[in-house]
Amino acid sequence: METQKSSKSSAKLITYLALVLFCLVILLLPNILRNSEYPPGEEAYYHYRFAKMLGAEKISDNLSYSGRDNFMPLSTPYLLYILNKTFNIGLFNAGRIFLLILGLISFTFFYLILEKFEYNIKSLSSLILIISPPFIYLYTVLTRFALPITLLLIIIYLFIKNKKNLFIILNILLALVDIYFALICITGFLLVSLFYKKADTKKTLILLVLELALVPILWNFFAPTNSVIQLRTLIFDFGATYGLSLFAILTVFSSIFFFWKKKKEFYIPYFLLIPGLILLIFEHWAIFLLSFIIAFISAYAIILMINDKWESYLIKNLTIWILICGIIFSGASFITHSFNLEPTQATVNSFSYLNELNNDSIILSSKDNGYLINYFGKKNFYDDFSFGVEKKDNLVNDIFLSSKNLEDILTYLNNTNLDYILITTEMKRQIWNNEEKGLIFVLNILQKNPNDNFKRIYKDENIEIWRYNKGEIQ
Amino acid sequence: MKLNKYIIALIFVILLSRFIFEFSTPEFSNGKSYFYIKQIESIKDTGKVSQTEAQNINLLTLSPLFSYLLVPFSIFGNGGIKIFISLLIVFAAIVLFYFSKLFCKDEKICFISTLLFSFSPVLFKITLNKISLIPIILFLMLGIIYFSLNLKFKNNITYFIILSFILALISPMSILIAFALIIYLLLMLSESMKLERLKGEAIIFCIFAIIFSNLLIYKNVLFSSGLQGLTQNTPLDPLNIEFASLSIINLILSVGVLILIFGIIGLIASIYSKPPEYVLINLAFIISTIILLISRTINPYIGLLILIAPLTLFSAKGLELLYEYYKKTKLIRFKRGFYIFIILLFLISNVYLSLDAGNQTIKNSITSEEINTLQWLKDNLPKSALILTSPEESHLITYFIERKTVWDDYTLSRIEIEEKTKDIQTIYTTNSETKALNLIKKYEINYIYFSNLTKEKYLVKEIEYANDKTCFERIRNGNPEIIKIQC
Repeated sequence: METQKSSKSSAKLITYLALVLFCLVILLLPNILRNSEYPPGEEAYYHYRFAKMLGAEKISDNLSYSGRDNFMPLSTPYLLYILNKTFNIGLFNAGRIFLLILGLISFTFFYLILEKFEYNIKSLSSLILIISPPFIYLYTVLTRFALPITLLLIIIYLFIKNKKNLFIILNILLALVDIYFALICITGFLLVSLFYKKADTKKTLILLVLELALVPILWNFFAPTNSVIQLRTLIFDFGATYGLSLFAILTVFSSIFFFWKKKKEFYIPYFLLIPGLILLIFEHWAIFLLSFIIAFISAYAIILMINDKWESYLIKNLTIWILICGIIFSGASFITHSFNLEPTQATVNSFSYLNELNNDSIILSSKDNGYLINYFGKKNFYDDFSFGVEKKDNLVNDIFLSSKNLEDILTYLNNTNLDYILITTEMKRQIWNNEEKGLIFVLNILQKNPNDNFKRIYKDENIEIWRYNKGEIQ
Repeated sequence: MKLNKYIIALIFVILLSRFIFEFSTPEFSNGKSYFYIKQIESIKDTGKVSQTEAQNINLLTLSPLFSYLLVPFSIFGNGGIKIFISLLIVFAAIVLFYFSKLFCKDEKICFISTLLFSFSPVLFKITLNKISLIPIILFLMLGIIYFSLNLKFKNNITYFIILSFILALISPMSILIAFALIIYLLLMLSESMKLERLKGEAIIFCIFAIIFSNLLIYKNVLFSSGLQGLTQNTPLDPLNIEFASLSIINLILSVGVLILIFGIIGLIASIYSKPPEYVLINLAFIISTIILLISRTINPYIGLLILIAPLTLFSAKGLELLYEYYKKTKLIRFKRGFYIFIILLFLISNVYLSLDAGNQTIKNSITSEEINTLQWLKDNLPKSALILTSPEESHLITYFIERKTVWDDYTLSRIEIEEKTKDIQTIYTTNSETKALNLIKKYEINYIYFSNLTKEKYLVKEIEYANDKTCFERIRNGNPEIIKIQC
């Protein structure tokens, strides 16, 4: 009996270690095979810039044209700074190691949260999670979400394990890391302490749903966002940067059809999907949270399909294989796609021309380039976190797309303090659809008929930079 | 499936009617056919499909399986390919015949309704003397639906799986069947009908297989253009021209009056009482095709053709109802009178229009005069020349002349293709030289290919501004006329 128990636990340990190894390989692959020494993701450069700043001067976002002080949580830059200072490995490597550690921790706690479930469900859920595009993105591209989501998983584990003291400490820590996530946890904590008496799963779930739905609704009531849900931004296979796997979603849907009679076994994960989907209406990053829930439901459904009796053995095998291959396919596609995530080496090389410009220069470009412009020490016109992004977006679209009149463009530009306009080939593709219209049309005419207001000072295959001088139309 | 006299008659009538037209010319009747010919030649030479077709061609949206399937038949030249396409129509008709037996017990009526399908004008217009994916898609779709209703019979599951995979691998149009199956499940639910477990499994499998295959083959298209990419932009030209030209009268005449009348009668009668599964699955097919047609996701003529298949089945039911009524009248003394009357109606409405559509199609086939001109152009035009053609003829140029064209039907950007279509139309139809020159400059066009087909398509007799000899030179007169741009 003893030997049987110990061999079982050693088998579990081996499985866990194998999964850790697999997670390590998957999270390392995009970094190893990336064709650039620069890490992926625009927002990452905000964190790197602040981490660099921490050692040198007082912290204020002096490069924000919008006049904000600092909008983004500084926990990630602080940790990067400490990691870099301690091991002296350079900020980029510190970022990579930081994400890798967080990835392994979050995977481990996801595995531990599923402790009560069968061994094969737990293992398959972990596998599906590891190869899901949102998980790989979260722990290979530096964003403000990696740290709070990892902490959230630990807090959920502590909640399940009823470790009250640690639960409170980590909630406080989360509040320091990210106030938004902390709000979710604190309301959860309050609701649970007020109404939760003893181990009652149903009640706990209702509280969780209430909590997770309440915070985003209230938050958006006071600070509305303009999140637009589109299929293309939700599903990776349809072109989303970090969308969910199409086949993981299909597995969730098919489980409803196949196991309607066994719905009692499913109500916990489906119940958890509801707050995730509500959150998704307001916050696109909810995809990261959903990927954990969807990984679990898909694994659960696949295991049930395998154990279930089908009328046709052939159809059963083929269907299960298609589902598994589809899920692997999305993960593999994401890994290959991630090698070339922006900014590529070529983009960074082009942007380094910005070093030649005056330090106080303000550069008009798309908001995606905002952090990178800041990284090279120049003020951006706006980025994801600027005040009134929506308003600026509309203005930029007006000026970029609609206007073919130099007078209109100058009237607008004269009301700003802009010094340069930076246009990338990606912007030409996305904003202008590679067509000669709006600002591109005007600039091309100016190129042929030189003008004192506009002068192209730099052009390569990735970007072109125009200097703008205020004044009357020439 | 047992061969009976009706099947033999179907094979004979369909093949004869098609071969009379198809073998009256050694060439094909549309430019797209030459695109496939080029692919076949490339497969024979290199084992792979050609990747360097034209200026903008993006083979990301093209599944190579169909071209590979054509290779063995191409051994017998163009004739072999024509036989293969016609055989696919025959197979589709045979499946329809057996399928219609579920709707109507009288084999004669089933035979007549299948003939209505085989001689619908739109079928002749789209598939006669043309290499087209439609016949194989139609055959595979009908096969999948037929087998899905009879899964309990031996081997039907295997056939169902094979057909599902082939359809999924052959065209993104397979999404239509996945969509129809989902609607079928919803209809079953709304009718509170119990879905057999085996059927449910097969449907889920089919939907997954189609989605997975499309994801696998069109990964890059989906990633760059989303679901819109899978429409292959085929409906985009029709958005402006073909959809607009489809008046109600045109629509009725294209489908065939009899199929439409009896199809609608049969449909209403079938869903009036509690409809059986085979009715629901066809209804789902009709609903999904109409949705895709309304959303302009599929070409209107292809949509109509797909719509005809389930309507044919309902028309069998409609004809049976009419026969039931006929039996109650005194006319029943002339039992054969009913069939003669229906066949007469069929000859007047369908056969006449189909033969007319066939004549028109053959008239549009490439002529020896055109081939001579194309050969001359191949020898005399610079390799870098960019030629303006109507969308239908672009593949003709790339095949015969091996030069780039402005238009092709594999461009992914919907906006780009819509603008291009409009611009091409303007160049051919405008009287303003300035307007035309601006557009010619925009696309850097060197030559304009002006054929009879272009004249018919854009309703123009000549390009008037080309009379300005400072900017234009007619280097070839007749059909086609070739205009060189000089400024």
